[in-house]
Amino acid sequence: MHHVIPTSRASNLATHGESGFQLGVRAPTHRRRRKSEKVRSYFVSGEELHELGRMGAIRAKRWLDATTRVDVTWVNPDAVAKLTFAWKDGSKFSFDLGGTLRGGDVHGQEFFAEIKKYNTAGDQSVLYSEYLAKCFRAFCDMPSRCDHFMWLTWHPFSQTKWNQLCTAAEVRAAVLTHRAKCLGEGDEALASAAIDPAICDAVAGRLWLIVLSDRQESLVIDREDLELVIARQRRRTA
Amino acid sequence: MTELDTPAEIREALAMPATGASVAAIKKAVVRSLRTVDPRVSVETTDYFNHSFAPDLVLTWPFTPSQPERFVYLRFNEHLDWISQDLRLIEDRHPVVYGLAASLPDSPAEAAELSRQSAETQTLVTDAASVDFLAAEPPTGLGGLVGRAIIRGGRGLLDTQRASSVTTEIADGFQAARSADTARTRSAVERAIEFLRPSESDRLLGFLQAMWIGAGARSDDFPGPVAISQDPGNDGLAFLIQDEEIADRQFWRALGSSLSLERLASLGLVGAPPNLQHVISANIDRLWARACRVKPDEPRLGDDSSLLWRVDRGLVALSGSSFTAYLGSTVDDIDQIKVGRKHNGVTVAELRQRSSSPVDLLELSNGERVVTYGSEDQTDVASDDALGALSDALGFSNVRRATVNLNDRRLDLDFTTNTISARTSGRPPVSDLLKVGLPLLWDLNETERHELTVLTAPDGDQQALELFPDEDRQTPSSLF
Repeated sequence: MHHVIPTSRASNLATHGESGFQLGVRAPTHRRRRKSEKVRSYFVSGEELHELGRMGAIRAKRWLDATTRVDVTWVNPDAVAKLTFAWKDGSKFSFDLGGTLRGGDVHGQEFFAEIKKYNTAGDQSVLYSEYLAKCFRAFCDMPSRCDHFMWLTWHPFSQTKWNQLCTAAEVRAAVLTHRAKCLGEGDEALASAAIDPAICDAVAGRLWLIVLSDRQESLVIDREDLELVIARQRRRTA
Repeated sequence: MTELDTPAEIREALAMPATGASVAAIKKAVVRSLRTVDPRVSVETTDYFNHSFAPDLVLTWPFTPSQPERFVYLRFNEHLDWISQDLRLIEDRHPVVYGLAASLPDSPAEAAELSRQSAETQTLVTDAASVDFLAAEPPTGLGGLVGRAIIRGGRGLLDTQRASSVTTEIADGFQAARSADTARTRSAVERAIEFLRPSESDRLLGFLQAMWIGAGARSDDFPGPVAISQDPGNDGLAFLIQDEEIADRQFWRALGSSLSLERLASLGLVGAPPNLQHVISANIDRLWARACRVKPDEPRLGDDSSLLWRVDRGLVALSGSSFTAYLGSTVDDIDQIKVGRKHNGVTVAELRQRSSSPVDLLELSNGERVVTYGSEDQTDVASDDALGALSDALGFSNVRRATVNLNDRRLDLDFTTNTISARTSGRPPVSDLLKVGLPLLWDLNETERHELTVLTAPDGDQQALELFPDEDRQTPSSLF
């Protein structure tokens, strides 16, 4: 079954041909749009979209794992239950990745991540607002697993307010925008009064905004050295 | 047969809310499945889970130091092409990729590609249900042996269907090799080559070939490549030794080139199987030991008076009618063998009666004073008249220690702890150690003395002795 995907959304998703960590990740076939294919290009199957999303998640996982400070444990949809939370109205949402951080002050702390393998800003500003509402909801539900929230994208967005994207005010605004699902309160005034500023502060303090590039993906510790680090980490925990 | 349901355990573990508990429970279930297939594997559980590069588990085989470690990567296996992509990051370690979903998805085209890729990279891609299938094979049977070979060195895509066919065909091949059935043996050879890395298939082919030759067939007629090492591996060797008796000295001699007491002791053998007698007897001049401790046993009744090789307390031992002699490569190895209260030693008369080799140094004690009596030219002093006089002069005295020379090797005998130790950095053959040391240390009966002579004689002499045994004694061939 094919789903109609807005062209802007579909075209924002990165196509392959990018070096992408040089790890042999298979990306969907890129085809130049020909006139005869114009209509078809409006239709991206759910499966293809799913595959595009998965590809981004996997590339992000590999990059994060290669930092040696992150263990990405759960990948959507493999372990979707581990990444899923419920809105106030009972509907579900899930993050793309989850796992734990390693070493330093953050050792053993858990994170959830949303991955955007985009090559334009696209609709990220809208999705980011929804993501902040998700972070708020997840933190309310299970604070013990919500030590960090990461938005990992291949293209910046909302550049005019870039330095405000990880603030409590932005979290509050997002919660208010998505108040029905996030708070179970449709009325704006009531919702505004119901938002706990301490939670907005807590969520804002847990936000990471990471912009990756294809070339940066390959700029990680090389395999030989990575094995040394892993061997040392293994010895430390043996 | 062990009933496991690892997929269900994994599902339950995944439902646990806390990440740490969930991961720990998943790994526990996986480790249990792997250790059920191979109880001798040692599993290191790392603190990674589903990491792109770091393994979840590391398998080692402590009793087989030459066996390299094998990484295990746990993966959610809902899409074969995703496993395929992941494989490129880890294939240089030739690992096991263990799928956490109940079984691998049924997608023929992707399965064919993953099958090719994993076989080429010497990587085993399997899943919880297939490992459970291997675990269900009785560990002492041929299927169990195949399962262990797969965990150690399997490659390719192994779903439950393939696990079943590979196990059945190779196990059937062992039976076929035993009756020199060419077609079925060939089929097993082909399966072994397809699903095992070369190092592991060599070992299995060595085992198949050993069975083939043991069946009386010509090695030239073996329907497969001639195994490089002709060493059946520890599993194969254990199986051969515990299996039906093969009374063929040449067969066991051919297997013995890489044999050691430690290796025999690590095979997990129980009791004194007939083939253990054959394999040690055929290689007694190759096996070496630097220490031996004799522990007194309750006298055995009936026909159990013959010498028997056995594995006991992790050591190879020779047991007789009233003793067990444990062998080790160092004194430390036999330190665990306790002989009870220290003995005072043996009298000079007892020593003379037992001695058949020149004793060039001994230590006499009457409990208060100690006299060391030796020869300058390493000739025998035990039969000296002066020794008797010296002993008498000391009053009631015993020989506590003695030194014997054999083939330029010095053996120290401690009668107070029933211990023989070779003073050498070389590798004295077990035959030398026992031939000289045991009769001095322990009062063997006539049958045991003869058996020991046969057992420790050079190969040609041994056969001659076996052909012309004393009429009053058991024939050596019946001993084993």
